[in-house]
Amino acid sequence: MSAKILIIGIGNRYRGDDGLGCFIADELKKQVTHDVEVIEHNGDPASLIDLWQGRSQVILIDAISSGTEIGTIHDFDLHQQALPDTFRNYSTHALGVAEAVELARALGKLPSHIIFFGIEAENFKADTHQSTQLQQAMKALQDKVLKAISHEIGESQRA
Amino acid sequence: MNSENKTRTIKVDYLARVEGEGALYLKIQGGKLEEVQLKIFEPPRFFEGFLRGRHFSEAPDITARICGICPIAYQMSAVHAIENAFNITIGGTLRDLRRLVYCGEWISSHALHIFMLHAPDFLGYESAIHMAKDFPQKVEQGLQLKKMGGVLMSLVGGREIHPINIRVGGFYRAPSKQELQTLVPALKQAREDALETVRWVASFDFPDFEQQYTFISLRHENEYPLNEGQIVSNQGLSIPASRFDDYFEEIHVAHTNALHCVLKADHHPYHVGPMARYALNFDRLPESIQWEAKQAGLDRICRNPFKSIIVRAIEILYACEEALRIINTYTTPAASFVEIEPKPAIGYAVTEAPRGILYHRYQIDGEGDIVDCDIIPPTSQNQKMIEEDLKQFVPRYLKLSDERLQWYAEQAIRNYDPCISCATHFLKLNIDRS
Repeated sequence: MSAKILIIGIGNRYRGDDGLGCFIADELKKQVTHDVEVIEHNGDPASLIDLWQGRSQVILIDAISSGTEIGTIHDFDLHQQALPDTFRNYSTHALGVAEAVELARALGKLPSHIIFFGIEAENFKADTHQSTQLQQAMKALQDKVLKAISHEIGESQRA
Repeated sequence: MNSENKTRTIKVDYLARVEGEGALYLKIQGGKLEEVQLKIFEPPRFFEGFLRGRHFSEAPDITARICGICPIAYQMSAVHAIENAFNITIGGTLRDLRRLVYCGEWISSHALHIFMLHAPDFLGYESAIHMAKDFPQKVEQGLQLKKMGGVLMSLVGGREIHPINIRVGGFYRAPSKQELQTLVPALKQAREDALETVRWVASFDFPDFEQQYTFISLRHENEYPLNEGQIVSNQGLSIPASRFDDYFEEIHVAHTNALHCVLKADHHPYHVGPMARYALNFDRLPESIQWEAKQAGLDRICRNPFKSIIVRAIEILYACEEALRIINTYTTPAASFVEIEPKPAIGYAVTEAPRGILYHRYQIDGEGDIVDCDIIPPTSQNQKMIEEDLKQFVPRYLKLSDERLQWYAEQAIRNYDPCISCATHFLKLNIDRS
């Protein structure tokens, strides 16, 4: 049986800060219980939507480039709102995570609880260098995700 | 001033729904289209430079990184060219496995283009997301087809994006018959979905537009071409990959970072990709698929680039059929690769990427290190042809608003499913109406 909560760290470890979703996933794997599954993903919309099928609680973590201050943490309840247009088309593919979310919404395939956490990043070049000013934001985001998990588990136990 | 004499400049600064970074500039003066420039500003990527000094065995993994959509094509042209240098021919089951993984890439790449990038143009939607609200079942079908292609690529190639299981001489690991058999039910469903897709896209409205193309593709003695064959044209050309440089030439054009590839003899553009393959290899398709193509309104040769969407659907159908045939006859090979001893040599190969022929040439020294290489992707070969299509097509729509004109121009570009990341080794539109 699938774990109750699916956490998806999105990114490419070899594109600078773009890998932060993967690195946060690495840390979360060490800290979560068996009812939480943490995976890494490249952001391809078709397979992302496929991964969500049959899942009721999903958390997405990704690096973003939307013009806000580096290290800014953004969070969105995707049932309440769409990802802003400024989050789109930063994928090296023609379609990215924002498109996957909207495509899933149009198809009625969005999980009943789905949260997006993003950190404004700086370096998307083809290297393994991460911007030093992101370290604090990444730690803060881990804490937010852990808090969201305990909230989701609490909600499901009360339900 | 008479509006007819004004200059209209239509500039699309970032072309959407194409792979990579590019722009389009149209200059219209006195009611006439004066200038068309397809600009690829994604910077050059210097892959040929990275490869120099690397061991030949690294070429499939390095070249796979050129493209996230068609990595198999790069890997296949690389392994075939290097094997050509060492006079090695890979046959039997390993050859079949190469066709199988290539079928996966065709299914995945064509499904992405048909459903997510091109169909919205025909149905009047801004994007696949907008289209999904009215055509959820179709978009779902597209996602399932793309997934099927990805599953094939993952099973044979090790993973879907930048596969890691392909090596010179064969594969690092060959899948078992049993593993491949697990794909059969999904592939049979994909074949049904592909058939429905052919019939669906055939029902679209197509602009009445044809060009007298010089089509270039591979042709094999008894197969629809993927990995092997002579380079042929509808003008009588028939040459091996080793003579590519004698007949085709890359030229630098100031407005784009991708080199234009032209016919060496007259510097004319030519057309590669699904329409070229179909025109030159119709008789190599199974009769049942030939019949479906005719039912979809296609003649043996299709010269309307907008109908390329039907040809892509036919090729998905073929790739599903071919994958099922290969799996059905597959036996797990005793060895997954053939050992190769390097020697100083030059090797050449052309394979059929989803977007058209992909040429690789490698010069290798006695240690097996790459001394020199050349990679010519399909989009740089089609780039000048796209501009020629626009020169003929756009003048018919000059009375339209800039917004509508841009719509048609972008649709005409997407006929070629351009992969700009590959060609540089994406699109802005500028319409200048003076």
